[in-house]
Amino acid sequence: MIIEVLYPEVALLYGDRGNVDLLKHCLPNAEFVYTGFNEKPAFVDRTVDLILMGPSGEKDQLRIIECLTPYVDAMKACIENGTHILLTGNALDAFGMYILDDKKRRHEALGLFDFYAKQDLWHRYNGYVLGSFNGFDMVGHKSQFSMLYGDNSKNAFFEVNRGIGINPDSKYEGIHLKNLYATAMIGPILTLNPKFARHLLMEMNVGEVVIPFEKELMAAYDERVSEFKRDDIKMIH
Amino acid sequence: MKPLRYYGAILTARSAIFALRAIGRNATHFPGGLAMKICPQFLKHIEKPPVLIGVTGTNGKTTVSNMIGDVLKAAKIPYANNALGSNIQEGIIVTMLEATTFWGKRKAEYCVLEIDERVSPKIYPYLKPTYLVVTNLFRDSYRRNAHVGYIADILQETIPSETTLILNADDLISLNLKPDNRRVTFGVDRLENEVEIRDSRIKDIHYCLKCGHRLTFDFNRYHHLGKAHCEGCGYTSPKGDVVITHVDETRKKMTLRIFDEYFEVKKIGDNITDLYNSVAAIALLHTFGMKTKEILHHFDGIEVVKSRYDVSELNGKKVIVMMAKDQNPIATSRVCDFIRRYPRHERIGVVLMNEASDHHTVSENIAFIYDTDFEYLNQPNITQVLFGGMRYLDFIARYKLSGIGEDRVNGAPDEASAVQLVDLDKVDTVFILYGTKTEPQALSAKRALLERMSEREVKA
Repeated sequence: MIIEVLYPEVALLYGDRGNVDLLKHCLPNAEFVYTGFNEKPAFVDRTVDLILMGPSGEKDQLRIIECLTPYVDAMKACIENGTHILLTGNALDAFGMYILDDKKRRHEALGLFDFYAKQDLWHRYNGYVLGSFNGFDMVGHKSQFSMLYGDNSKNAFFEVNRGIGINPDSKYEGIHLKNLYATAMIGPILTLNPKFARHLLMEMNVGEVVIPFEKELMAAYDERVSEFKRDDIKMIH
Repeated sequence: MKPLRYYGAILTARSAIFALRAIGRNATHFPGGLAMKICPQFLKHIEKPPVLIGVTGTNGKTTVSNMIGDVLKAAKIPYANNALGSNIQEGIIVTMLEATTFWGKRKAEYCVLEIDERVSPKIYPYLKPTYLVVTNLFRDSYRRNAHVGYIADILQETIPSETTLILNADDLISLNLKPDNRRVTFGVDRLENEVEIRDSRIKDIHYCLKCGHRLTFDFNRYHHLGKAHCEGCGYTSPKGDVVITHVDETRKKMTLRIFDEYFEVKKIGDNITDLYNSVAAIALLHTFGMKTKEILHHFDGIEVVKSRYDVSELNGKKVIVMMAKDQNPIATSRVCDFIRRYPRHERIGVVLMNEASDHHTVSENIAFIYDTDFEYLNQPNITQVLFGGMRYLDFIARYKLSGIGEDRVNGAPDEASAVQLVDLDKVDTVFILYGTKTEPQALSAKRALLERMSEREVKA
C-alpha cells in the first residue's frame, strides 16, 4: 500500500500532519512517499492508494500548481479510476479553474473542477463546520483567505448544518467525487473525525480497521459535536 | 491643518485615561480604541518622538522591548513605551499620548514600542520606526496569523524604506525582509556541545527564497533557525554582525562578538531564546549609538521577567511556572525541548494549560497540537503529563498518538482539577505551562501545589 503526501514541506500548514500520524498508526506496513517541489509525483508512474495534500501559503500554492501542471492528466486519471485522494484547507483551490488573488490577478489552476477560488488577504475567515456525511456528523475548523465559487451541490463532500460551505452563501462543503474527498477544513480532520477515518480506511480495503486510541478520539469528537450543536456556540469567530 | 476630530479624540482619550486610572486601571488599551473611533487616522496626526525603536516578530517581542527599556532606564535616557499596554493600535496610541503634551505636541525624545506584526499595515504608514528589531518569524496562531509567509509579506510591504532593521541572521525568513534597507544582524553561533535539532515537526523554510532550490542546512538549531546555504544560487546565511560566540554556564557569562571586537557579558536566563533576546537587544542598543561598555555594564543589571519563568522550591521539590504561549506550536515546542534537557536525575511532571479564551461560546482549533513537538516529552524521567482545560481530551489523544506511554498522561476539563492529578510521589519538579491568557490559573495552580506539598510534609 502506498500513501503519497504531496509537498509536505509546504502543504501541511495547519496541523494537517495529524492526518499522516493517524494513517501511520492505522497502516503500519504502508509505504509513505513524500513528494517535494520539482520531484515527479509517485502517482504518475505507480499505483498509489491514497494521495494527501493539505493547505499551503498563497505563494507556495502557485508553485504547487506549477509543479502539478505537467501531471494533470495523471491526476485526472487517478480521480477517474477511483484512487483515494484527501485534500484539506486550500489544497482544493489548485484543482479548480483559476485563483483570483486579492489584487484581482488571475492565476490558472489545474482545471480539474469547474469552480474558481477568490482570495481576500485582508479578511481571514475563521469558523467551525458541522455537517452530515454518510449518516454521521463531520466537524472541523476553517481558517482561510479564499472562498470557492461554483456549483458543488451535486458532488459536495457533505451538506453543512452549521457554518459555511465552499463560500459564505453555500451550504455544501467541498467535493466528493468517486474517492476524492476535499474540504476547506484545516488540520487533523481524521483525528477530529474518527468515524470518517474509519469510513475512509474501510473504503480503501485495508483489512481490519484499527483506529488507535479510538476511545480518546471518540470522546473528543463527541464533545466537539455536542459543542457545535449548541446554539450559543458562535460558528464564526 | 489637523482635523477637529483629532483634537476631540485627544480630549476624549485623555479623559478616559484619567478616569480609568482614578479607579486603579492601567488604561493602556481602551482610551486608544476611543481615539481611533473618533479619529481613525489618529496616529497620522499625533506628533511622534524623533527616535522610535520598534520591536516586532513572532517570539521574544516583550522580552527584547523590556531589555532595551531596562538598559535605557539604567542609562538615564527617558523614553516612552507600551510595556504595560497592548502592542496593537490602541496600546500604541495610548503610548503616543504619553509621549506628547496634552494637545499632542512632541515631548519624549525616545520611544520603545513592541509592535504586533499583524498590525503593521495600520501602524507603519503613520509611525516610521527609526530602528526596528525583528526578533524572528515563525508560525504562530493559525487563526490570527495564518502562516509565516503571510506575515513576512505584510512586513515586506509595510516596513518603511528609511527604517534601519535589526535582523536575526539565523532566521532566513525575517533576514530577507526589505533587502534594500540599512541592516544590522544578530545571531548565536553554534555553542560548545550544542546538539542540533533536525527532528522538529515544523520547519517554515525549506526552499531558497532567492531561487527556489532546496536549501541545505549546515547547522539546524531548531525548526528553521540555523545556518543554511543554497546549492542552486550560492546564497548562504550571513555570519552576523552582533553574535554570541560562547557561553560559560559556570560563570553565567557569554562572549559577544560585535563586528570584529569581542566582549564578555552576563548571561540572562537558561534558554536559547534568552540568548537570542539578549543579543537582539544588544544589537539594537549598539546600532542606536550607545557605547558598548555602557550597554554591557547596564546589561549586568537585567533580570528575565519573573512571571515568564518562575521557580518556587519547597522541601526539595520545585514548581516551575513557565509561559508556553498556547496556539503557538513553536513556543510550546521550545518549552517541551527545554523540559527534555532538564537534569535527568529529577523526576518531572508537566501540567499544560489550554487557552482561557476557549470558553463556553468559543471552541478553539486544536490543529496546532499536531505541529507541536510533544514527542520531546518522551523521556524516562518525565513521569506525568497532565492537560487542563476544555480541550484536554484532544490533548490526551494527540499525546498518546505521539507514542508516549499511556500511563503517564491524564487531564481534566479545568486547570485546578488537572493540578490535583499531580502525583507528588512520582515527581521532584513540576512544570506548570501556561498560555497568553492563563497566567492567573497557572499561579493559582502553583499555590495549590505548594500547599499540597506543604501539607504532605506536615503529615510526614
